[in-house]
This record gives sequence, structure tokens and C-alpha cells, in this order.
Amino acid sequence: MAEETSCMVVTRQDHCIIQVTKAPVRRSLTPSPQMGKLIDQPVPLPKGDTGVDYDAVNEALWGLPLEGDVNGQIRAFNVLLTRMPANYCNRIQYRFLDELQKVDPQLLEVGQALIREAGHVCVFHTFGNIMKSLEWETVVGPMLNTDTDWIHGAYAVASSLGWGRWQALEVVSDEFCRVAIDGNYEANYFLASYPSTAQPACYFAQGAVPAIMNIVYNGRIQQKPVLDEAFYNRLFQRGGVFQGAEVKAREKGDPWCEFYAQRL
Amino acid sequence: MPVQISKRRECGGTWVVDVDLGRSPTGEELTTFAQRYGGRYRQFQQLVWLDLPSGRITASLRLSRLTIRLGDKALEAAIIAELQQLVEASVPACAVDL
Repeated sequence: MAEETSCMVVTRQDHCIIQVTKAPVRRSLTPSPQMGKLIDQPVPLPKGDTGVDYDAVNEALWGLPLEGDVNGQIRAFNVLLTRMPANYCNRIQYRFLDELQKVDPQLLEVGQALIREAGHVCVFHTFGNIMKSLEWETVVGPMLNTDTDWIHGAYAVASSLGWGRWQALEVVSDEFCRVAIDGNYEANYFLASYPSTAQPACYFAQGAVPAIMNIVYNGRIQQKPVLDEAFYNRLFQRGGVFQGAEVKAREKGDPWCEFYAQRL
Repeated sequence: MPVQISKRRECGGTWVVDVDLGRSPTGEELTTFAQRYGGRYRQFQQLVWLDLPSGRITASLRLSRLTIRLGDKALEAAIIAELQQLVEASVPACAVDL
């Protein structure tokens, strides 16, 4: 068993200390959901009004040699990529919520909001850097004619990363977007691990979808800003940011997950 | 014309160098470059990767920008100097017939 006895987030030092000891009693493990509940076949999603060819972007990016360099790091699209089993990430995410609920059910919403923010921060920085990369300019760049194409281009790239098939159904410049995810990795895990729910539960994607709108319409990524912590804080401490909601969810019986993002 | 160089802090805290050549490089130039520095040339559509012993250079056959990610600063400087020579050598001479 492991216990973190000192955390750099709290101590502001440059390291954490984790002590590992042999557990005194045998611990029961939560059964694996295996692959999760995958979709039977891709649902036909309506194509948005764009010049971005999602299939061509997918084909290009799936063919890229995304293996580690001499340091074992996968550096591409201006970011550091990680190959991670989706259900390892899911297990951490949903167990975090389970544990919070055990402590106090009122904490559940706080946990959900934290995961949404994690999704927002992650996607803002990841896709912000992707959109400044040489790979983006070379593969997606020739298809970008309007600012809404940048939104579609981001979802075409997202579809290539193993998170499910992301498709912007409708994008109105600087106002709102509707995005479908077919086979979202969060829903795959949730459906295999929990009973059906009335509430949508793809919290990471709920933060990711408004993040893409915020990159383009608040961050003005076409002007290649420096994406550091100060820029992020400055941008989101003022009003007018995009917020999202999951309006359809496989985990509550819909055929795909669908998200809406609009300005607050 | 001098190449334009800018340093950028990338995800994970690594500093990388973007070099703007003023024109897009050719496949032949990049192949020669990879061979000279003991690297491997790989191309996917118009994207090119030069995998050198100390890191990677990413280039595009349709853009003037290269991104250099090398752990060896001396090698990085040598490569930038060579890129500068490459660009200068390819500037067409102007002649005026009087």
C-alpha cells in the first residue's frame, strides 16, 4: 500500500514523498470493466458545414509515427503525448467521485466541477499548442477557410486520438457549438461499471467542448498567443467565456453523447 | 536573408527552437541534412521528421518553418548555422542587362 506523506503542491518543494509498505491484510480489488461497453457500430452523424475533411485528417494522423524518442517521450503537435489505457484514466476519475461521495454526498458536485475544469485546462493547452504546430499547419491548415473551420479541425484531430469519434454538428461563429461524440471513452467505462443514470456523466468532455470554443474565440489562437498560466488566468478571470453542457448521453440511453457550448 | 529564430517553451517544460527559412525546404535538402548528421529521414505526406541521435527536427515541405528539438546545444547551433548557409546559397543572384 502507498501513502503520500509529503506533497509538493502543499509544501511547495520540488518533490513528493510516497511511502510504500506491504499491506497488513489482503485487499479486494475492484473488478476490471475490461474494454468497457463499446458501441456496436458507428452512428451516422450529420456533417457540419465545413471544408474540413474529417476522414482525411483521421487518415493522415493515424499514419503518423507517434512513437517515443530517445528519452521515451512522444513529442508531436507541439505537445507531449502519452499512450494511456483509457480505463486506467477512467478508473481514477470515477473512483475519485465515488470516494468523495462516501465522505459527503455534497462533495460530488465539487468533484464533477474539478474534472470539468481538468478537461478544460487540458484541452485548452493541448489543442492550443496543436493549433500552433507544424503538423496542424501542414495537415489541417490547407482546409481552414473560416474561423468555424478551426473548431471542426480540432474535432477532426480529437477523433484521431483514441477518445471516440468527435464531430462538430453545428458551429455558429463566436456564439455556440453542438458537438457529438460517438463511442466516448468515458461513456464506455461508465456503462460497464455503473447502473444506468439520469444524469450525463462524461465530465471531462463537458469541459473539453467549451475549451475548444474558448481557444478560438477568446484565446484568438490564430494569432499564436503564448499559452502560459498567466494567459490562461487572464483569459478566464474575465467574463464572456464559453461554458458547456452534455445534452445527450449514452450513459442515460441516448445513441451518442452530445454537448453544447455557449458564452456565459 | 537571415533565417528567423525563435525559442519556445513547449509542453513538459522543454525549450524548442523554431527556424523560419523564408521558404519551404525541399525533400532533397532535408535528406542530405539527415545523412550528414547521422539521422533518419521520414516523410508522411508533406510532413518530414529528421530523427538525429540527439533529438528530432520536424519540417514541412509546404511551410518555411522547422522545429528543432535537440538535446545537444552545440549541434543545434551548428545546424542553425548550416540552415543559414542553405538559405543564403539558394538566394537567386540578380542581374540587370543594360
